Amino acid sequence: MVMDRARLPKHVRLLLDVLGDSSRIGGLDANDWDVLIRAARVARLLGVLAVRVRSRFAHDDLPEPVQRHLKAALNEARFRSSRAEYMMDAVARLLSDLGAPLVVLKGGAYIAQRLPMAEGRLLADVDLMIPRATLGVAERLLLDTGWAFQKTDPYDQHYYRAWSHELPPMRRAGQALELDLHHAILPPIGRLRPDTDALFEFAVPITGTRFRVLSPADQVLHAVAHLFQDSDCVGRLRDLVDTDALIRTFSSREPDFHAKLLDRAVKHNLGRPLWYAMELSRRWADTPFPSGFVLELSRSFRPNGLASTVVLGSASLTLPPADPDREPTPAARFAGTFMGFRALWLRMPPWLLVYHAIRKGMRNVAAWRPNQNGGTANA
Amino acid sequence: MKSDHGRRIGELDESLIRRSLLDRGLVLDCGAARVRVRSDVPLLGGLLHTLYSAFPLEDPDGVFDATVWLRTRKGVRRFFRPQVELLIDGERPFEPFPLDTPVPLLEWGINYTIATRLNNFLLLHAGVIERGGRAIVLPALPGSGKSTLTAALATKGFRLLSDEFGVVRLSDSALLPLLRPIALKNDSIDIIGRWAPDAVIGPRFPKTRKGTVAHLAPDVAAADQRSLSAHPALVIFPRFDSAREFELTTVRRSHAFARLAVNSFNFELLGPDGFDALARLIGQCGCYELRYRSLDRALGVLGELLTVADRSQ
Amino acid sequence: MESRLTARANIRLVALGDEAVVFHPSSWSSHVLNAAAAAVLEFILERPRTRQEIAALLQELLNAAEQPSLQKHVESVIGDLCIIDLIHEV
Repeated sequence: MVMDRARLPKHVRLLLDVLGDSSRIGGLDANDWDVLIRAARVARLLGVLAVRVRSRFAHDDLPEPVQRHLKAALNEARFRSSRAEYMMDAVARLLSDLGAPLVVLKGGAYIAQRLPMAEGRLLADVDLMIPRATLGVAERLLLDTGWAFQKTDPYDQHYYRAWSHELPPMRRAGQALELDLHHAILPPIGRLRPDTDALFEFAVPITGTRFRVLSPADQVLHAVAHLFQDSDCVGRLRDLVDTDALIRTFSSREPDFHAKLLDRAVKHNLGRPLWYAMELSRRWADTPFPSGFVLELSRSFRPNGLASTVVLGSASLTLPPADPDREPTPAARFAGTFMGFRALWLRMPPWLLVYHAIRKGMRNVAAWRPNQNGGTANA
Repeated sequence: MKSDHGRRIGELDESLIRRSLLDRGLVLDCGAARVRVRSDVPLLGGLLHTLYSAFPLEDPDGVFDATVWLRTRKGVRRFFRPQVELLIDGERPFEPFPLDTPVPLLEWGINYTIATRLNNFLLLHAGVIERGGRAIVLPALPGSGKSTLTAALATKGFRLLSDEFGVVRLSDSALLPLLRPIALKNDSIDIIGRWAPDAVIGPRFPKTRKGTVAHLAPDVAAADQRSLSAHPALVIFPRFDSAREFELTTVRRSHAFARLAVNSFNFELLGPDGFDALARLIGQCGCYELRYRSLDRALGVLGELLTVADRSQ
Repeated sequence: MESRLTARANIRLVALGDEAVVFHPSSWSSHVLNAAAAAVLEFILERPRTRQEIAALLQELLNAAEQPSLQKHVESVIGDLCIIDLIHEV
């Protein structure tokens, strides 16, 4: 089961408490602030924390060292958001001739929709989804105008193209962030297979831009799928915070949002991940859910006792940021391995898993051997 | 420990410092940033006792700009090659160092942390010294001899703000101290040793990535004024040139702007705020390139320039 | 209707000596402008200008030796400012 909030380590509890209600900073002493800020930083949530705190408290009312941390984080967030907008603009102009829908995902989508939750987010790259059939042309257009792949290792290239739902990341001079071109939101050979056509079908255009975003329900499901899907499950509390914010925002804008969410979860076969996300989000972020929704979702998708215990128990250990002062405990390290393995399991068929593991192992060994100049190469 | 407040690190017993490092940590209050250090490396206590001797002893509880953990590496290898590693909030930004060179690792680690985190200020890669409230910015370029010159100025009549970081306040472009020991390399160590025989220079660490490194400890005056800002007055691009007695050329302000922007840690990240702050700073400064081979001469010229700048403001 | 050169919105231009540094609000890049380019950009920031008006301005600023190639200078400055996307033609 999901670990009770009261039993979470102090740094996680503080972070969840203040993110949930920023007026709680009134009860913090200097040490608490230090723990809170360091935890937020490790969780890549310092910018979001800054926005939530500053929504209630003026800059000057905060302790001076705290002001510094928050201002710095807001500056970093502003840099990333503004660079993301700049990149999306450039890429939209470039790919408009494709005649295909350009669906921006995740952080870029939150920015394009001007959602309140986009403020303070530290996005790492821009994710764009286009129909698989147009991927070749799009890639050509980008490469011809100065974009280049980051990972040039032929194995990585092959891995991305054959098995994954995205091309390797691309960079361009003058662009501060990376561009990830997708043709789906999850790997096509994975065990969770959302209906990509349905994603495109329900995508919503953003006025004033050439972009679309997934429907609100699909955006939530995308965040939910990634909560457990990505191979580095460790420290993904940020995805939970996003999920909670998305649900709150969209449910306040549409009266029947939860019904749509359920509907789309069924359509995309993401009912189980949604149930896991709901459990976590209710307990850790106090996300409100109508009781009807909870009942319906549980009835249809709640897993058997043992499965849910293991997954939610592991998630409880791995989602939060590690204590900045300590090594992860053996339990957490094992859980991290389990979650990582599970994520990989969800992404790849078993025979492919073995191949991947061997190739990765071989590459690490290759990196160990001395290069011609006598030093050791670093992977 | 409470009774030690109001004292300097150098006045404490080394054993007390070692114990603090093992416990809640030792605070390095550098002015614009405060760093808390924790460590189990036995050597470190004595080294910090020397290099941060003038710094105040402060309460290790509170909010810090970074908490840095310098620890002995565990594992089988430690019997053959004892090593020390640096951890900052779960991150390990560098490969481990030999256990007997903890200070270079600590100093570079703190530099890394500051350069990546202190984005509430504009951070120039430059040394900064001041006199009479007016500051000289010395951009860091390879081969410039900037650290030697900064150290020479800091030990003869000028106050050291920082050797690595020009910390610029965004609201008014004032320069803030980020006081740290100055890392001297190779020949510079002897040069400064002769130049300022009373200055405290820590032990030499040979065979680092940059050659032999030793650190000049900031003095009491600099430590006591670590919260005092200074107005920018001069930007000096130094170039040590053994063939040239002395040459001072004006640098076009727009070019000085470009060179500082390019040589900054976070100019791009700060966007319009960084642009405004740097333009304002340059607008207040005379900009020169100084080729010199004699420290005495260089100091004389800089002193004169500063006096002229003082009068014209 | 003759075409006019217009400046982007929200450009930051700071004079440093007789040159200038300028901040592009969208790309977040900064540029150094020489005296001629700085003067022309400042001129255009006041309001949109025709090529004729820009030529007249440059004529005042350039010294005698540069006059014969005035048109070339005009095109060169306008071209440079367009390339870094500070102005465009309407």
